[in-house]
Amino acid sequence: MKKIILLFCFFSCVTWSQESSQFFDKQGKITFFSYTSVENIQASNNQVVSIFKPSTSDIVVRILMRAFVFEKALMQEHFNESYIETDIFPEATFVGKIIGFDINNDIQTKRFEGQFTLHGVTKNIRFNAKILKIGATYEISGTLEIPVRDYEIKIPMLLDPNIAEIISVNFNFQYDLYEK
Amino acid sequence: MLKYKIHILIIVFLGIGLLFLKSKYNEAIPNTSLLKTEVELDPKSFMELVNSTNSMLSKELIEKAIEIEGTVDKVIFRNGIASLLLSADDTDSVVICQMQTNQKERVAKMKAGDLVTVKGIYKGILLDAILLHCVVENN
Repeated sequence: MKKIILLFCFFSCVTWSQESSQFFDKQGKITFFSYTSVENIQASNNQVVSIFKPSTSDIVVRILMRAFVFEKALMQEHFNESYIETDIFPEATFVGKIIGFDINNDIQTKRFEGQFTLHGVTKNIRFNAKILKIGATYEISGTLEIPVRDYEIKIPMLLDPNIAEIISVNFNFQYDLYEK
Repeated sequence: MLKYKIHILIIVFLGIGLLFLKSKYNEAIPNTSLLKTEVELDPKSFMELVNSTNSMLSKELIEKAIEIEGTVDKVIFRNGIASLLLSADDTDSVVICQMQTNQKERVAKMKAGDLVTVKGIYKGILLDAILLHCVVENN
């Protein structure tokens, strides 16, 4: 009986410590797509940092904008120099919460709400994403849409038909327990 | 007749110009092996340099080819992409080298503790310094 109680205490402590812990991914993936009749553009960033705290449902994402890789060098140059102006605004961030996150549920799709800052402009956004609890790790993935004009990204008139008004963004984070 | 020749010449030049623009537009990301190395450092010195208060110095290195010689802390394969994490000794931060796609086989043979020299394009710093399109120079 004593052993059972000790075992129960041990697993309760492990569960409690995981619930109050932070989970960390420093190589998250974000891919964006711009679909137009003229041209399809896609770029991926595999070095996105994110921290997720299940006990408070808090989530923070930091994106180094220069780390997006394009198929064509000129597209990448335009993205960095003309559209996002990465010298002035090197990072994009999301600071938010998962609404109704259930720490005991292994698979759930929930609404994320928070502030997204891109190109120096901060907007409140909301989107849905899937949260998987796999053993002692979490995976969060989903899609959201970003209207280019909301973030004061100026597209030259000549290239306007090449770039979609709404950019589709896919993301995937695989979080491990953050050990200090 | 002269007017006709001038028109032909204009059309030819326009055609050449359009072809040049098209080839420039479709140019792929250059192979890092072929780029001139800007600086050669060990991970610790590189982290000190990019974290220094002289932000101008750090900014000047962005988009430049940097060569780093250091010890492999971790080899990561994720989303079909290989990365080498080079430790910077006493700091928590590392130098992350996201490898060029043609480097997968070489990276697959590496393990933590290996001494390696990599060349990559410095993109900036979040928690760690990030180099993309990295190639192994020797190991």
